[in-house]
Amino acid sequence: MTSYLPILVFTLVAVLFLTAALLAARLLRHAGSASMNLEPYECGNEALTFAHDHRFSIRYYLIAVLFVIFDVETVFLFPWAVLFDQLALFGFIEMMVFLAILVVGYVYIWNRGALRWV
Amino acid sequence: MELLVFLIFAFLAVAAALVVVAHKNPVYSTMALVFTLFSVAVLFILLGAPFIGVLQVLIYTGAIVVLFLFVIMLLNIGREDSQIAGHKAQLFFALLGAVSFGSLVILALSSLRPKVLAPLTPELVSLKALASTLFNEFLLPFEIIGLLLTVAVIGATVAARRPTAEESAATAAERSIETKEARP
Amino acid sequence: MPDPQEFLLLAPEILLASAGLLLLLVGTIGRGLGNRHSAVVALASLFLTAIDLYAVGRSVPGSRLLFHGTFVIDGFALFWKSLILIATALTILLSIRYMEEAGYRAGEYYALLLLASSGMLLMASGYSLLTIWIALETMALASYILAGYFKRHLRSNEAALKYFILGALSSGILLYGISLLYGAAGTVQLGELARGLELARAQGSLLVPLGWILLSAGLFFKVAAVPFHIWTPDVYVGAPTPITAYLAAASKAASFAILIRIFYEGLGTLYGDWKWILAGVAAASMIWGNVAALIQDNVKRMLAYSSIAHAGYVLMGVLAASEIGLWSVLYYLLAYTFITMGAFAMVLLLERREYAGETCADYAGLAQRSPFLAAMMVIFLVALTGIPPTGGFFGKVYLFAAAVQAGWTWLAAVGVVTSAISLYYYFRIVVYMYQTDSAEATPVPLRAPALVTVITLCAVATLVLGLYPEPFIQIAKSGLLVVAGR
Repeated sequence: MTSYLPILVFTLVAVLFLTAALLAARLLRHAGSASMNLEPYECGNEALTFAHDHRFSIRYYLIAVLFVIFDVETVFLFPWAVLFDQLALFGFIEMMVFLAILVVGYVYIWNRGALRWV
Repeated sequence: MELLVFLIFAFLAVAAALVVVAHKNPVYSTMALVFTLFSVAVLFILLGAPFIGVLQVLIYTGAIVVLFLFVIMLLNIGREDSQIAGHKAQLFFALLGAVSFGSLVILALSSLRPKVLAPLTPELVSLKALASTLFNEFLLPFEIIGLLLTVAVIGATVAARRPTAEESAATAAERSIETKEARP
Repeated sequence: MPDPQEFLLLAPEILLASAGLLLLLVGTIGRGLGNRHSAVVALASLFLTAIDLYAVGRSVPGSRLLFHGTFVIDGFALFWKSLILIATALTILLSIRYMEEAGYRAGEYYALLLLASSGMLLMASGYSLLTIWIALETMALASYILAGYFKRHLRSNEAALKYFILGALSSGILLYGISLLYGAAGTVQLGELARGLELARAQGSLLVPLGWILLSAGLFFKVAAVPFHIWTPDVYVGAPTPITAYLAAASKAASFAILIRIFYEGLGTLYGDWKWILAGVAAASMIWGNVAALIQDNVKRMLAYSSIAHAGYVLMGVLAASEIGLWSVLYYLLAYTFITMGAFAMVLLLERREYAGETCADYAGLAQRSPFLAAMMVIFLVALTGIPPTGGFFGKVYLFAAAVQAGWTWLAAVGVVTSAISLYYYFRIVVYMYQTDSAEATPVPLRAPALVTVITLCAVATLVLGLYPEPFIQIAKSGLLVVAGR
């Protein structure tokens, strides 16, 4: 458990540094005319619409879902690789079957054009 | 020391989880969710299962929360609809459920005899032991997960894919029929 | 490493899943196979799976545990698997014309049906809570997509969304229950679980009741029993009608398969604890399902409530936990599969574009327009009520007998009274068909030969089950399970 101590210290330092920086900025900065500074274009052009008026395209969502699914797949590869020498040929075939099933899904989305952006 | 770390992150997990449920702005809720999941990852590491902790960060904080954010942006929810949220009866039943269920869980945990289960040893939760169980004992469920993930891939594609040219044509035809029927 | 022979015994599941994946791949190449060809391929693969299943059944006498005890082949599993294959085949027959008219791509549709069915086969054979849960999720995910397959129809969207959100929640509760039981017993394998739970319970661990209550809540959701039934009417109404039939027959059968296996083999030693909950849920399902069905005007919605009520009747048989109780459950669900498939096929036949033609009034004067169809519908309605000479009658009689024999007389009384109530709403349609005049005088167009075939087949099966039940009871008796620890 002590081997995680540096990570803990690192986290604490990161948090402290952030807090200190923000706090210092708050204390030092010039007050007033804040609303102007929050405009998307500080140079003076007025924004015609708000960011909230635009919806994200559903394609982002599709890509994100597919990413999560294949992310989960990758997770299984890691313990498999760790134990690869013990699992031997049987483990290899086992993982190939698992991957083959998922490759079917991959070929499917490829052919259906789900990965094409336009 | 360990106890202190546990207490800090357990408190963070619960507090952030309360923010997830209570905050009006869904983006803030999602960011609080990151906190909860990250704290739980720390708890996993404290239990001696670093791999699970890493998975927690990798999949939940890394991928799934991003997905949540996409959905929020997609639906363009700026603020929760106040008509639905904060309904008195809803709040009452939610609290009732939380209290009764929480007390049940506490009762159940307090009744747990330590003898029932062998304590977790580092060997038991190590990555190699996990891999060995997964690829030998649970070989069949593992392969079915492949099938499950493929079904999920199909599902996402069927649900979110843009319609093909012929499908849009069919929709347009249907619409025109509907409007014609509605006119007289 | 498992014995290679074990994979041979898994062949039916492997075959069906591969067929689903193949159909998926072929469907994306160029214009795909087209609707009819996809359906034929799907039917052929179901047929091959059935043959394979028969071979597996012949080579495994009694029961056999495979893959480190995560999978079991026994008469019980084989019975449900056959039932699931039959229901899937009937669903595909119902779908052919429907998909043609709807104008959606058919490749994924049939592929998803096959994948859902392979998940169901794995559920029927699952002997570890993990196998069962993952197979259940495979089935459930595919069902959510199928329920929302008609993307341009709002009702289909609504069905998919409600089904998905509530289904995911119930799966989460189920998994939570499983994890608590694992915490109490230290295993997820059903046979060991029964012993482990008995031990943990004797030590006074409260994890045990908390675990099985959550687990059973998830299972009750899947079989659509009160008070976890709220999703049923909306999903049944909104889903494409063949999928509604599929959910009501195949999905329900698979869910009952795991419910019975978990309660008998995994939680069998806790029978004294769960019998009261099961009794309450059974009674509530029978009462609420039948009472709520009284005021439904939409036939699909009425059939949804009727399916809730039937889940209650079946739970009564499960509760009896005796030999007669279990085979009457199997017999009943066998009959119910044909009855409900036939009834939804009738709905499908009368349905017109979009969702018109679903109300009771649309059945007015059917006896004049198409006497044959009206007669078929009468058979299904009579069977749903449980009047001889149909399969529904014997099913109910055996269930009531089993309940009385096991000392649940009050529950059987509830069953009899609610069956009498159900007479009202089932026969309302009969009255519409025979007593009122229709605005149209032309016969209902028999749009698809496959549809009429299914209706006739189901009606014949319903009658045969009622007139000559003996061989079917023998089949049901081949699928008996013993309650652990009794």
